[in-house]
Amino acid sequence: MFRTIALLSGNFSIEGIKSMELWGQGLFVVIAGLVGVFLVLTLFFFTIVIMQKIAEAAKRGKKQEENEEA
Amino acid sequence: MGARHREVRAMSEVLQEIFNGFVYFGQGDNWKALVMYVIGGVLIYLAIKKEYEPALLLPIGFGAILVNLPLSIAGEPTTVAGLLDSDAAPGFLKVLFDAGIATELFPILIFVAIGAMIDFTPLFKNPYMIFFGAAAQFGIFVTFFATLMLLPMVVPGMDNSYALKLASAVGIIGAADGPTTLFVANHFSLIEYLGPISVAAYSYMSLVPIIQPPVIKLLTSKKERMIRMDYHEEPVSKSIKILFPILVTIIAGIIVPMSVPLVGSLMFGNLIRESGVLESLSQTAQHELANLITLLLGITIGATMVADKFINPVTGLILLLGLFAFVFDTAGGVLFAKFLNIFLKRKINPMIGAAGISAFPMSARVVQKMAKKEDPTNFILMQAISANVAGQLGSIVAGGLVIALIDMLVR
Repeated sequence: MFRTIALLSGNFSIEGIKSMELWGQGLFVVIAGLVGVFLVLTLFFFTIVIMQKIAEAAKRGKKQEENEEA
Repeated sequence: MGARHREVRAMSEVLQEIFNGFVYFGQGDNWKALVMYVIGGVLIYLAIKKEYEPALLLPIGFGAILVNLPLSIAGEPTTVAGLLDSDAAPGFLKVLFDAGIATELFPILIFVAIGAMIDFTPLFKNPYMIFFGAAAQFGIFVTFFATLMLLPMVVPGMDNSYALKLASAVGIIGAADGPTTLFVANHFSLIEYLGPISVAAYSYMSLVPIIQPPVIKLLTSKKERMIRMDYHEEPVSKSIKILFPILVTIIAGIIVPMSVPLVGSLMFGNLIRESGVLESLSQTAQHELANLITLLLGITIGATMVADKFINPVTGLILLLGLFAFVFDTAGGVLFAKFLNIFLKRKINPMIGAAGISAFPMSARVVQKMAKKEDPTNFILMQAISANVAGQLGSIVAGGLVIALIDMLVR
């Protein structure tokens, strides 16, 4: 993913990062790592929320069906 | 006279053979082995007397003693310490190392067991708590950067690629997750540092009740620590519990492929648990598998603590920065909660942020204990557990990301 982002960005390449000084490379890992963790966990968050919404909708539908039958 | 001479010679040979071990300690740097016996003894003491992660520290301590003994095994021309020496005939510790650590099998199996132990229900009830699982990984990256800056001073002339690898393994101690730490260190073939890195990871995990409270107190006011939080006891459907491990594995696999061995095994264990049809397997994973692998993992890690590799300035740096990582993890979580409180109407107790580390359920208990101390009627354990469970996810994702990023830079 980061490789893709890096390649998509014009003046921001992997080779460019590799040629940085050690602290620059370190800073890149810190920023990309923290952003990455938040990004992935945000996706997990939406996964949970969407699953809950679907489960709730299914439950409501089932209840409605039962009410209609009654 | 000839017979007497032969007897004396034979006796002298026998004595020499018997005392070879003592002579060994006087040669070169072999005295360091004695220091390792003391270190092994301290770890065993901490395990038994203080009950600090006894399941791991005891085998590690014993392994550290075992690997530094100047003995040959059943007449084989090797010592148990032949572990790191490829020319030596394999001792049983080397066999265990090759089978379980070098192949990354032990950490992966441990994750199956942990997955079977984790109940994600509290997280499903408070999904936003997942962000604390991300914030509390702050210590990993701060420590990574600090290590990277300090390594050239401690080991002048260290290759940049190696420094990046070692710094990432030291930073990952902040994952507060032993198997992830091991997995990353092993991925980068940092065998000679596996011992100190694992000892730091597991020791500080057991010291969470001592490390976290002062940091939390320093960053929060009494009023903040007394904040109450609502908890809704709503049932979570079984289909969500079953789908979650599958979807998480797919998402992690697509975005951070390097985290798949960790996420995949954790979620496999969790799926076994939540499926409801593999109760016997789930119980086996939670107990027998966890115990067996922990036992083998501990003694094998201990076996990487060979004196001349362990006693050096880098070990000191690793142990120091491991503590640094735990402190900054806690600070990251607490400060993130305080930051959110600027925007939220219903405030979050910032101590919850500290529970976003992977040390489960210790960290959540610490937070609840502190909340109770400020206000005996305040109950935030379930929210803390949610953040703690999220920390498990955050730490393995961070591990996968660190591997991916460093691999990209050193390739």
